[in-house]
Amino acid sequence: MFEKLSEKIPVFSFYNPKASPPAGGSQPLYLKWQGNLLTVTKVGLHHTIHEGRSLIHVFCVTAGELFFKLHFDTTALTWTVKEISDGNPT
Amino acid sequence: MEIRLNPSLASKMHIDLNSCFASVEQQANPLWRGKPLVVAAYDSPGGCVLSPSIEAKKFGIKTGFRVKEAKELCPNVIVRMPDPPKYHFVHDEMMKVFRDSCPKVIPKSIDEALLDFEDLGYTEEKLIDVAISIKDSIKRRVGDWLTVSVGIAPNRFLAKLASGLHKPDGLDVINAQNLVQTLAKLGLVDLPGINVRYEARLNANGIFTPLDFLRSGRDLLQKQVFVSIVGYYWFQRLRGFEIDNVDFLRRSFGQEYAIGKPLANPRQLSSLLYKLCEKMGRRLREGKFSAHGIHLACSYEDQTFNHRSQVQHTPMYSTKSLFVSAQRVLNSFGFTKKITKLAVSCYDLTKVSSSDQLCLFDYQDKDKNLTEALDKINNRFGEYTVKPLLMLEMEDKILERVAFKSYD
Repeated sequence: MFEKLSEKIPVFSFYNPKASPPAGGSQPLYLKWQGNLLTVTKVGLHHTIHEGRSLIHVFCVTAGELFFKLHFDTTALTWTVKEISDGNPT
Repeated sequence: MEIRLNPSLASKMHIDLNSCFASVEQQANPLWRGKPLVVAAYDSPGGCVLSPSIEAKKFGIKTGFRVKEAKELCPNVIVRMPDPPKYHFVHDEMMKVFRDSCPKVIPKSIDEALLDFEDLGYTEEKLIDVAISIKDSIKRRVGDWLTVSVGIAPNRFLAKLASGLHKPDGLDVINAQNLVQTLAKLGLVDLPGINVRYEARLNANGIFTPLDFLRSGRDLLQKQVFVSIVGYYWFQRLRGFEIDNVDFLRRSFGQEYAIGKPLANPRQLSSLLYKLCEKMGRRLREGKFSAHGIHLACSYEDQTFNHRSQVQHTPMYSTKSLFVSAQRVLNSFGFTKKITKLAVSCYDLTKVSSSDQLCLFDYQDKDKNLTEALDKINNRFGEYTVKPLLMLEMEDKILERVAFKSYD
């Protein structure tokens, strides 16, 4: 299953001033998805994009049995799920 | 016959990220690791595979296959469309790693770079240590799933050849001592830059292996095989002498679009053409260029092809001026046959500066100022915030692609 979406969700993030990238800095720790609180188990990739002048931090993470692509909008301070996948082709 | 090889120390290191786009997708999504995956231009059956993962390659899937061919070989293959920001990010991070090890880094494409250690005078052993350290740094600082193949040699050509000898995660050195043994194991088309047409040309002159190629004299290559200076370049290149340290200037900007459902409708084609011109114009203006020439190429449903160039007296800078010229060429082709691919490019570039000669007619300045104002709005609020009526409902068409350009 692979799905593109655009849904704002609650995310708990953590900032570690001592850690270095790609594991360090600020990153999501827990997210709430369909009523379940899931622990982020791995950050696969963290990069940034611009939407106009808004800087978006993109976190590709696994939580529970799922993959999430999360956008953190640094202007609006919102977390949005943009993609979700269970790792299977369809 | 004794062959005079370059006796210099190996000083060039070519680094190539293995299965670039597919590996980056697997890096981003740990659930896809170890699974056959392809990144394709489109996920429809006719989409072209741009990058198969290492696991997909084991099923025989290669770059250039159609998605349906990939699925015939591996029904469970995961198909993803490109996500260029991820690849640009990985490229930038890799360049940072390279620049920490070498003062002269030349990006060759989004997944390849050349590191020139000539000024540092490192020994081969030291270069191997540097290569191992770079591999380790990429895993630590960029992504633990990413692997690179490294080639070390006295010139760029042999370094690139060495980087392709053992994939993935290879590390090979080619020098004057092992060049002959290395070439003995390869075919002509294994050499970077030798395609099947060059192979046929070499075969016609009695050259069937890389060793035959290496043993060929300069006169044979220059006067008979390539009938140009290219023959001399190959003579030097194969012997490990550097002749590829040339910087090429940009000569054109172009965009193309393969139309999923062939079109002959003038209005729909104009919309596509406008969007192509807008993307091309944005890149042209970003590079601070204007263009005098426009070139349009169309591939048709009946496998025919038409293309034409036009040179304008006044330089084109705005999207509108590029579009008007391209539309004129498109109109000259007629709309009788369905088009499957539309490609537009502009050439004959000149740098734009504030000291440009003033134009006699002020409408050109107004056009330039308006274009720059629109670009500023779109830079600030996002692409296509302001767009012409022709581009309405075009947002999902002509997606961003990873262009082959200098990524410095």
